[in-house]
Amino acid sequence: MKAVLEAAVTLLTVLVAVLMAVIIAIRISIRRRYRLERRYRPGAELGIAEYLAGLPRVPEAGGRSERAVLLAVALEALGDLRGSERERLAELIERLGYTAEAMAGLRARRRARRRQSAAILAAVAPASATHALTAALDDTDPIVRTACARTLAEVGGADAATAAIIAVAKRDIRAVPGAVAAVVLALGIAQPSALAPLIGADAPPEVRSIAIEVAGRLRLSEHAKLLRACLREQDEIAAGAASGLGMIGDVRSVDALMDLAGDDRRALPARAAAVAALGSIGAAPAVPLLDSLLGADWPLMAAAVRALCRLGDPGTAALRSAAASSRPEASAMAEAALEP
Amino acid sequence: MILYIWFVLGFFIAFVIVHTAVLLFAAVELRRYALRSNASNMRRTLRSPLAPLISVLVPAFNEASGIADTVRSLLALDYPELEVVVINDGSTDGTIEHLAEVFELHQVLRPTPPFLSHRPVRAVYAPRSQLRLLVIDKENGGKADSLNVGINFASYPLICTIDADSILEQDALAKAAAPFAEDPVRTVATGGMVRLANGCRVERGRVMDAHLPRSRFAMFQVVEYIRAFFGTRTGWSAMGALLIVSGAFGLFRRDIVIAAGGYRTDTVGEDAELVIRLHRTCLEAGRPYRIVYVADPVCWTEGPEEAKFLRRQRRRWHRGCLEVLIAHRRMLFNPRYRAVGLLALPSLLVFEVLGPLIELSGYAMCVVALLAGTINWSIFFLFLALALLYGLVLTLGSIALEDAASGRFPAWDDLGRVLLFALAENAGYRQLMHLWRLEGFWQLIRKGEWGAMERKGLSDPVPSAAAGQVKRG
Repeated sequence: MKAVLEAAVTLLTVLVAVLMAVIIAIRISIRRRYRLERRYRPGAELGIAEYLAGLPRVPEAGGRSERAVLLAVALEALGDLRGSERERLAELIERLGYTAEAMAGLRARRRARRRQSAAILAAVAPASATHALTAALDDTDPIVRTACARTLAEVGGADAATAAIIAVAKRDIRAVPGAVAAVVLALGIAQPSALAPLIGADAPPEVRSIAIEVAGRLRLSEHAKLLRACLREQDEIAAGAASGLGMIGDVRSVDALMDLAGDDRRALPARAAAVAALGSIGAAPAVPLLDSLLGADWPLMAAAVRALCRLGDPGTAALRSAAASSRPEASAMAEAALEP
Repeated sequence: MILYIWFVLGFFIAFVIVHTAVLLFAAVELRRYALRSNASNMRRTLRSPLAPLISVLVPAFNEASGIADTVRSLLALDYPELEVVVINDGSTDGTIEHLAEVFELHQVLRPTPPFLSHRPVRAVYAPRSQLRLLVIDKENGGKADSLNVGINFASYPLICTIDADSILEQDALAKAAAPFAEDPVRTVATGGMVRLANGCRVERGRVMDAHLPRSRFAMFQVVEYIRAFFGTRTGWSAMGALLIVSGAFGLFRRDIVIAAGGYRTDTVGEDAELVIRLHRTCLEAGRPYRIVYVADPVCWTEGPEEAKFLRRQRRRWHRGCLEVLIAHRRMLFNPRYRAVGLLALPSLLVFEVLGPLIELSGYAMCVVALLAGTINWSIFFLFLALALLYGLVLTLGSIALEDAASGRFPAWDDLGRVLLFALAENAGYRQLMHLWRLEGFWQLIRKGEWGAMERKGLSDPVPSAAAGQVKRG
């Protein structure tokens, strides 16, 4: 017993010493990083700001640490910039050789290096990297694969990008949460038409629901027909499609949305989404249906009141009559909605 | 007697195995998180049209002194779209009048949605400006009741619950919401890191300068928080069995919380109870889900510095643990509830609820055994050293994880202070906490006191009658 306890105490003492050494090493590294940041960051920020302001001077970075700080500052700025300033900064990053290093880094043996390279390329999205990115879709690491697929969605051809996304969805949907959302969103922004196969019934279900949401939020009217077809499908898909059609403002979907909103066999969230969409589209023919829903369950009633508010005079008239009605909940909600 | 000592030894070995495993899981999870997350990803999420909209719920009871600063700092958070819903829980210190004056509120007609039941709402106020703020005045019913009101009135699909005196860092909401943007179907709740703001310089609802507290009790709590958040919660989250999303800062999917029945008002551990009920609801429905602890979004809160308030807090926490276990006893050791039923809840029962009793009785039994000569001094001291060293390993492991994950408090003297208190907690503090927690047993039987805490206030106080008022802790 005593020997076992002594051995355990010795083991724990060693462990305490090791942990102390680890903590000290981490702190030394943190402090070194802070020191380098303090030393190089102001210069890097100033250099990039001047470059973006149009001054001819190109920011310079001599040593490895200085280059790393300059890249970090540039990538942070890249996240905040849009339009020509973003393009100018991306061009600077390429000019300073960072993207070439990152493309070479995608073939590195160390996983951390490959991930870092993929992240740099994902942030800069250089068109020249298409070949290297396509090759990296076969990387053993799911984070590298998904980062490359996302970048390809932004810079690659539509077919290649869509194929990459479906491959990513099949392989990495569990391994990297959010991978599919990031890739589909990038595709929706860069190549909207390429979303079509992802909205169709043949796409994997997880990809499909995200693609439907992206199409709606980005207001991609070219996909309205596909979204209309989704209204007849299961409730979760139908709800997403209805919201999307509302955001797009698709007038041709009014009848289908009214069918969904009035169908009491469908789930409440799907019906409420359809009601909200009718309001967003400004569908005056839906007023009688919305009026009839003022006696329904709360989520549907609340959505109907909000929709009526957006339908101008006919909607206001319906709300006035509901406010004067004997239905207490509908009356209270309509009164609140009519409040100036 | 010797049998009991063997039992305590067995308990210790089980404790070591479970807590070491949790710490290792935490290390793996934090490394995975560090590799995946970076600043540009976070910005991308923030600017993405998929960024979820959030209603921040702030239950307030006699918070006139700091509520305006809290609301201002929440409205200024770095997040694309959020609304702040303040629920005044029958305050008697002029909280509502103060808010009305600062934000130019006027009463609005707003029918009460019927999703969750709660004490009656007296009035709803909104600002005359375009600020996304809603203030609900209701009859006093406690924090859980207030949160249920907030959930009913929230306009957005995600709700963030915080305490009225909590301070969120600028990017905390974005970081905590990232899992919802990344995995909108499965993520149902996320929790962030809670740190003690005692000792920090706070101005107008923002932490301007972070320091370790001077108070001894607060320092001991800093050590506990480091262990709890970096060691324990990250580890359980990695196993898919996170039981607690702190009431001081948590994000939830509103529809799932409503489906689960909202907060229970008959328990003092309403935050843990809700999380366990979310696990239960999702697992029983066969719904794939994630409840995630994210290590770097930070919420600052004030911890009790005086013994009497700390004692109330610990009694209340322990009572809360017991109530949760009683309410969800069917989940214990039930394979249907996977890691939650088979690992996390049994661990809560054995180490958190029964642990203080076993440890304190173990001390007493060891003394008796020593006096009776059943065990000798060298064994006693070796065992004591083992317990102290293992406690230190857990603390150091958590500090190493914290340093690697966040890199806060990098000053050497801060490290020295934390280590000093990590060692010193074994010489009285730990035992005192166990004693106070045992009082929670007694409280559960009596079902009496809620547990009040006098807050000093983190920000420069607004001169008002509220200064020095007692609020629920």
